[in-house]
Amino acid sequence: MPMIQSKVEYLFGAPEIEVIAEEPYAKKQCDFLQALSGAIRSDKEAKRYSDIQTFAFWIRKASLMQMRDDYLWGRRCYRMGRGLIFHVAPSNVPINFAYSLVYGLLSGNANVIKVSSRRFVQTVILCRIMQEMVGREEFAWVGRQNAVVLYERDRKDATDELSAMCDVRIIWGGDATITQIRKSPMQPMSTEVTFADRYSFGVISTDAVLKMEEAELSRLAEAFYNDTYLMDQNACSSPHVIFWWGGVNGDRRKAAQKRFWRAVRQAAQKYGLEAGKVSDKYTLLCRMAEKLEHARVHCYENRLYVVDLQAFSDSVTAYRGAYGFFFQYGIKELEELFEYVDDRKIQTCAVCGVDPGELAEGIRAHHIRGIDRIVPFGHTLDLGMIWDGYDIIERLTRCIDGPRASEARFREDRKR
Amino acid sequence: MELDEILEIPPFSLEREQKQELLTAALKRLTIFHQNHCKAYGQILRLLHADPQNAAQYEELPFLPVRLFKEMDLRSVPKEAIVKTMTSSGTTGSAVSKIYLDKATAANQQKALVKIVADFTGRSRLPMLIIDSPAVIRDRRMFSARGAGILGFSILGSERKYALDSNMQPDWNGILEFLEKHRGKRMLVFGFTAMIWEHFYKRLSEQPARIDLGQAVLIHGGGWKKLAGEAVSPEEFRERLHQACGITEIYDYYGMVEQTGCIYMQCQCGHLHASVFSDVIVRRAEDFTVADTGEKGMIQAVSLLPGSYPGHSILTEDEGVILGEDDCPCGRKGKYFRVIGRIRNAEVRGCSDAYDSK
Repeated sequence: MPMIQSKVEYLFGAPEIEVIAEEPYAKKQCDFLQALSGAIRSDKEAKRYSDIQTFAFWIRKASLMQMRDDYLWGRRCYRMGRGLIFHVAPSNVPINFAYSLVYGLLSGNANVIKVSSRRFVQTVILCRIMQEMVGREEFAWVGRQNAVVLYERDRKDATDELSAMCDVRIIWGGDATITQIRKSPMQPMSTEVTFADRYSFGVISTDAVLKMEEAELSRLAEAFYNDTYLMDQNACSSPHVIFWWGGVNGDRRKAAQKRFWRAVRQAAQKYGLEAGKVSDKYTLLCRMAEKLEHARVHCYENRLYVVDLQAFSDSVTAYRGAYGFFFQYGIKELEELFEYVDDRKIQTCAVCGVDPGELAEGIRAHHIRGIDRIVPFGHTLDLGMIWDGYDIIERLTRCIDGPRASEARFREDRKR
Repeated sequence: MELDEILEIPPFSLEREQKQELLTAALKRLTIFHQNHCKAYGQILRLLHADPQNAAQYEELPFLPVRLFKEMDLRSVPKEAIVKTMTSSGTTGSAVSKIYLDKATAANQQKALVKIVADFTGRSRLPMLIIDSPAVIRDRRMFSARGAGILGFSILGSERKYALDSNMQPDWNGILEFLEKHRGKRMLVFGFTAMIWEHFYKRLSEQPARIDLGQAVLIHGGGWKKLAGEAVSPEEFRERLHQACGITEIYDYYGMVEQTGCIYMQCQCGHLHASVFSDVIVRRAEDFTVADTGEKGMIQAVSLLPGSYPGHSILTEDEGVILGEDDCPCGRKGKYFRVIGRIRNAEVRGCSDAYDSK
């Protein structure tokens, strides 16, 4: 049984890790996550954190069953977890470690998760709830097969040990983090899933915005707020450039843009615009002046900066804002989009009034290397079992070639 | 009015209306000059839709975020005209500001500094004890903010003595000798707040003789950030120094390497004062509108001195509050204010740059 020798702090679990490979979505994993969902929702302390509640909602029964069905439908062969997963959780999204744990559990693996030494209160709360649950006989295995550890970033000894021990390593980015962690070697058979720095953008149909009722527009603006401001516009999936599709007559496009940004400014009134953010944002704007030589900026106070681009003098991914700082560019045909987004750094394309299927067709027809996701505005932050272009279950399991998983077996598995 | 003439005006003599008129005309001229002579600055003004020509008040003129001087080389004169490059001391690992000075700008900075300080210490030059090491000013082509401060102030001394050696150790014998020589005379002591505390005050007890600075004026600046970890308040700093070496006349000042020369001296009422050569405007983070007197906001600093680089109007990363104008009990005209401290770094959410950075 693997035993962690490095001196690290255990927020959950213990140094000894029991590794038993399971099949994905095994009953005991699903039962545990459902119970965890319930425990979170009735926990007084956890109630105060909307990110913990969103997480609990994601692992509620109906949602898990849907994920399981999606998996079983697509299954062509039997799969088993690879063994032990070492996760390096990010240091600026407190709840993220929990999603990573779910990836590991649902794929049938044992897990060691390194969380940020910033010791987020959300992490502490969730670990406490889980620790309380493993006191129950039926969930004791969770405590034996999983650990949440905390140590300082410069503790290479600990990262070395956990990397040498694991079958799969998951690194939640920052490119710098990935480069750093990769200095610790893994066993030859081990594999890795990395979530690097990515870039995202949006496409909005001019007509769709012009046709919207006020209430609908407010909903769109709210959705846009959640995609961007909610994470300081610093999530990999937060859009930076908005392509306005259609409205060949410039006036129509301008009217749609005005309408949209006014609604966004309204939605962004609740954003905590502190002096530190304003300073960063204003500095970023001034620093981009050279690149924006022919552009025009609209400032809605310091809450919202929108830059009208006449052309791209650099790769799209170089147009990156923060704290509510966007760029916009008009296109006549959807097809024109593909000139700009052929870059593997591009992750999410958020859409409004655009058919995702048509975009996917375009990606295929134009042999585009970018765009891993096409989702409506408001859903860019929805983490799922497919993320960043990876089918998570596929990445964290091995495939047993030969016997086919029959439809009869599907129905049987579904009944469990 | 030309800058040469302005520099002849007593630094705290103009009332609001006169000063406004003077600043507006001079800053408009400076803004237009830099717009035409610094390409990057011109591009920024274009992007911001700035229209200096038609500004009615200097508050309407654009301002550069101070961090830009760390990220870009901003100059409005040919390379050959640069005689000094000043750098901010910058905490380890972070980028430093680079400020390019031509002869005229450097000379004006010196002139303004002398005028401002003389208003507090008197016109005659005094024996001067510098609480720092002479090593700081050795390379005269590349000035750190510390070096520039020392060099700028040292012109106020009739005779100068560095209190620390090149290893930042106090030279007690030398100090005592210097004090003996000037016994009974008024004297100037200058240094950076953190240096005075760390390398002078804390070491006083290790030598037996009493260092008597009862006749001295202490001028110190550079901020309280480094002392914040030890939780030394300005009041405690004054009190402890007074107890240790009898010094009573202590002036803190606020200034920045991007606007060297135009320092803001703290009067005996504890207020920082803007001279006629510069001003502070406090702005609201929400929309950069000008905050009311007494309202906290981001500090914008304007200075008439920067001719070789577009640093005449900058948005600092400090927060402060205007306390009043023209009516400080100390009698000095102009705005007086308080600096609250550095604005807090934004704690960024999101998923890039995820590695712990403490």
